[in-house]
Amino acid sequence: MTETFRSPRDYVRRAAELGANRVALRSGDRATTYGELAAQSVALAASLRDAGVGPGVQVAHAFPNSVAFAVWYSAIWEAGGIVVPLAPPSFAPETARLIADSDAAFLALPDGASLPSGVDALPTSVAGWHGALFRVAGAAAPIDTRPWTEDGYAVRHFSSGSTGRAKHMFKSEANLAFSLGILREAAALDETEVFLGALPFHTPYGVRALHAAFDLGAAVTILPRFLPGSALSAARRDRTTVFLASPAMIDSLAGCRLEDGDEAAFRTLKLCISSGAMLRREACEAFRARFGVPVRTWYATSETMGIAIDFEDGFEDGRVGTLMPGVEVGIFDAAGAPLPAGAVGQIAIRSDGCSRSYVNDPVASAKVFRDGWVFPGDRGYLDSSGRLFVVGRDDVINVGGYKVDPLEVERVVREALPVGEVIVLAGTRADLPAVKVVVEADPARVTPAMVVAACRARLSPYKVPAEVEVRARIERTASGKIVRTSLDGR
Amino acid sequence: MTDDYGGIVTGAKARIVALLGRYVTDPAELAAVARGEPFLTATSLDSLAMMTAIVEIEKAFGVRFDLATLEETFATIDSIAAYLERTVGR
Repeated sequence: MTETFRSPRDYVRRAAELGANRVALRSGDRATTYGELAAQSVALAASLRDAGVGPGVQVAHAFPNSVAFAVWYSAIWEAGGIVVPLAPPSFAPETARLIADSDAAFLALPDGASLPSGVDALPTSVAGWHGALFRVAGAAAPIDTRPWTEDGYAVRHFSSGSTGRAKHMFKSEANLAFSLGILREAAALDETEVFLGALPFHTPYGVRALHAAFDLGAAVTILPRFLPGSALSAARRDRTTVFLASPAMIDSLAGCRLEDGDEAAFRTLKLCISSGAMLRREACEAFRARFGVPVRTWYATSETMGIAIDFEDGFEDGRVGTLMPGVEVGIFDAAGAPLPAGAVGQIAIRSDGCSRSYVNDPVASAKVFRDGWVFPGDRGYLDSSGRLFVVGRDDVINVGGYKVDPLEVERVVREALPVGEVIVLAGTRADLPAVKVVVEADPARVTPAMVVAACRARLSPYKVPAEVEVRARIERTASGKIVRTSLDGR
Repeated sequence: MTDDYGGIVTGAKARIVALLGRYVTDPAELAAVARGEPFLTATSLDSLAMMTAIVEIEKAFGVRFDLATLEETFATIDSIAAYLERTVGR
């Protein structure tokens, strides 16, 4: 397999060899061809190598959705480095901690961005292509990995969980190649596709539009952020064929105001995928009625990449479809015994898309990576015809596809304020999913505004509670356990 | 609430504040928005809530915000009102 292994690092260059004038990226009215993207990546990679980026060197990459995102990402790969994608610094107070935890030796930032607060780094001579490279002080030595091989690490992603802080995992080149291959096969995609890149590219799901397009030599329309009207205009202009969306995007497109011609915006769309959270039946049906295109649910996690995709018509709660090629799923009870079809238990996955462990986190790794399986924390079942259903999970809060670890929010509130019990729950904000916090504290000393302010200073906006209650006392049972029903979560 | 915009957007700011009040749940944050402070610094809205609020305002006023200028047009209550005045009914 090694002889024929096609490294994701080579996708852009290979696409350029096959068709230098083929469009790779569209941003507004501007098109970048594969020839241009490859040339820019190779040139920037040479500068990166001179600065010290190479095999095993991790480069934190904090660009918004843009052509520069793609150029810097490709250049880091071209130089042999490992990309550590981060939210653009203005959006995420956690950036400094993530950089410190990731052992990134360099930080690439877009033009005009300030160094995130708390990051000790100095500028290098590498600047251009709408970004600049900084050298992080005190970074660890390069890790032992061989780029352009199946085991070579290509990306380091973060995942929320129930451990109080982000978990890190490497995705190998084989992990990425496998997951792109099964998507290509399952959905019959080819080089004529035009992807709509509207999700944040720094997330494992969002960057899939870029990866998949580069794998195929296809085009991506880059949206700096999602607004339904802009997505419709872009889809109409560029004749989108593949849209990787979140349920919130489907919801929004199904109910937004339309302008003349918008109903036909997705007439060229052949695959509309929703992933990251559960899609609502009403949104799924309204989207189809409005645009004439079915929405396909895709079940994937950062740890495993693609697992199942649902090409069956007719909405059914929790159904995520049949397993993708090369993916094996088992359902296990709490004691680790396999369960028969129809029985609900912990979902476990085996495939070549799976990471092997978290980085520097043996406790979380032992919980999730067990006996050759990956247990991402979801509960569900397989029916008698092999279709997978996901029932849900109770250890993280899903805010429109972003997973919030309740322990992380709890820790921030505890460290900042004189509180007793802190309960973090699923709440709502104008009927949208959001975080709710109930704290036990003296209302004369702690106010809801103080809780919000403490979270805003330390956490990304989607983790900041929309609902806060300060109670002098939280109701407990006779044995001292908190009465969860008294907290009125979603 | 009064505003400096006449004609078709009379009362627009009050309507926008009322609409944003569904998303900006902290009364102090909503008061700051009503005073004209930037949403980005005055509120803790996440991207999902912000997007949904924009979509509601688009529906309420029959306009469409442009991504290329969103940072300027959807920055404060005043910038939204100014955008509506330029756009509504065109």
